[in-house]
Amino acid sequence: MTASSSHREGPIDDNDWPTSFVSRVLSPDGGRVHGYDLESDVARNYTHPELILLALTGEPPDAVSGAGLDKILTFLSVAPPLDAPCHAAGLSRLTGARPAATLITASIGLSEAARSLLEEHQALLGWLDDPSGPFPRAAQGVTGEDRASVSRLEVALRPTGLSVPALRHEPTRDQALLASLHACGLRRAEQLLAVLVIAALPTVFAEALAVPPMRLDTYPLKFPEIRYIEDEADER
Amino acid sequence: MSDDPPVIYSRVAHFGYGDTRFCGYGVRADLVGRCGYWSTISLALGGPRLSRNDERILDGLSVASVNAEPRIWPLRLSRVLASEGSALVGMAGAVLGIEGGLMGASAMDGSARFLVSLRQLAEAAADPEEAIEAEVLARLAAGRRLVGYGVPFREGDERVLGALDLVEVEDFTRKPYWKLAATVERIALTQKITLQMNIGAAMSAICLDMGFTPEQIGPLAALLLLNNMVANAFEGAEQACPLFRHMPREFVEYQGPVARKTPRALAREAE
Repeated sequence: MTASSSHREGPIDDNDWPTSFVSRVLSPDGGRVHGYDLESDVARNYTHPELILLALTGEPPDAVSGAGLDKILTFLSVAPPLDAPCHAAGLSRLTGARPAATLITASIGLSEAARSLLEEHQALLGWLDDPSGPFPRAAQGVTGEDRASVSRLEVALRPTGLSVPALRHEPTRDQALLASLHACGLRRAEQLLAVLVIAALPTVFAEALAVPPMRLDTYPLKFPEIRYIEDEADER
Repeated sequence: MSDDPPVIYSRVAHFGYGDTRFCGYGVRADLVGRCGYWSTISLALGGPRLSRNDERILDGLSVASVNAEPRIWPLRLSRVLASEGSALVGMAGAVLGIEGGLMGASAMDGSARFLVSLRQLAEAAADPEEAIEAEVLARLAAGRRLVGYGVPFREGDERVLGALDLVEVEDFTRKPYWKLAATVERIALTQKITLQMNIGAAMSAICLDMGFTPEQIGPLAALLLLNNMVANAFEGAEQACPLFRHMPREFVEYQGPVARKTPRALAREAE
């Protein structure tokens, strides 16, 4: 195929477009975020959780928020192995996929789970921005496991000095963690989405990597039962 | 909680000996040589096995909607993702990367929902035509997008012209959703000259008139448009263009905050 030397007309060719790309957070070499030098400044003076806050909010956090997020990230890294992100990533690994594909799968699963969690907690997020009304009770109620975990969260956060008013309202574990993130300065759904994924990615991926590739005999194909039906009689 | 083990019912498939059941049919017994790819997709989406004619329509739509220009944003995305050498990553990443937005399959989904809601509004109204006009004008006045309408930089969407070639032959232009889509275009054009029907509304209307639901049209549209992603992902992976992996810094204009020091850095300096 020879390249044509003649100009081809079209909506792209015949209209003006910008001649450069724009970056708004990262410097062109990637070395600065929101104007702060990552290697010579942020790495020396801030922890990684604090970098996450800086990146997502635009400003360096105070020590209380940073210390608080450090603890919250660990709580958010709890990922039951049969919840969708870990299960899907494990299946990816089982099929012999490249590790990068397994990581992609874990990221997709975690992003979807986080999106769903935030949609379920719209009322809470509204209350956190404006706590003048009653605290939104979770539809499924607060379990004993919720109370125990929230109690452990309070113990973990105490040395940090982070104040989370919502913890006084007997929240579920999910409510407590979202409220704690809000107390660190993460107020927008997109910011919460990022932290939910970042926190759990290492543990989810670690579990997936532990799955022996192509050991298809180790996976319970018949549980749960997926029963094929063609008509109503098959459902009985 | 019941002690019975959980059972998930599926109408999709059963892996048997000698043949596999798929959506109520034996693959070898009923489908191979008797229906085409688009029938299997329709069945997969919970729809019917398609007539050969309907399969031909979807084939034609997929061809008519080809615009694989590498420079446009979703296909550029496909190339950038494929630049490390994987066509599959480029294809899948591009489909996922624009999910929920206003381009590609998500636009078809949105357009289909818009047309369905408009039809429901019209059917409930004493004067359907007036109701449609009022709704369209109200949306435009409120600054809301008419998903499936808008053709920038040119007089019409060339893909719609291709789709029209198809549907006029099949007499689709007399069908309710196509007529509704055309009515919306007529109303929208009284407000803004660039609000012609684009392939989003055209494809949605055709698929709705074929009997697909908006929920089915999203995934269906992803497949109808996949040829565009495949072309760019495949070439993108072949070329593994270094420019897409690492764009030279001189092409980037930084518009963020100026270089500054953190409070802790300043405090250290003050010590």
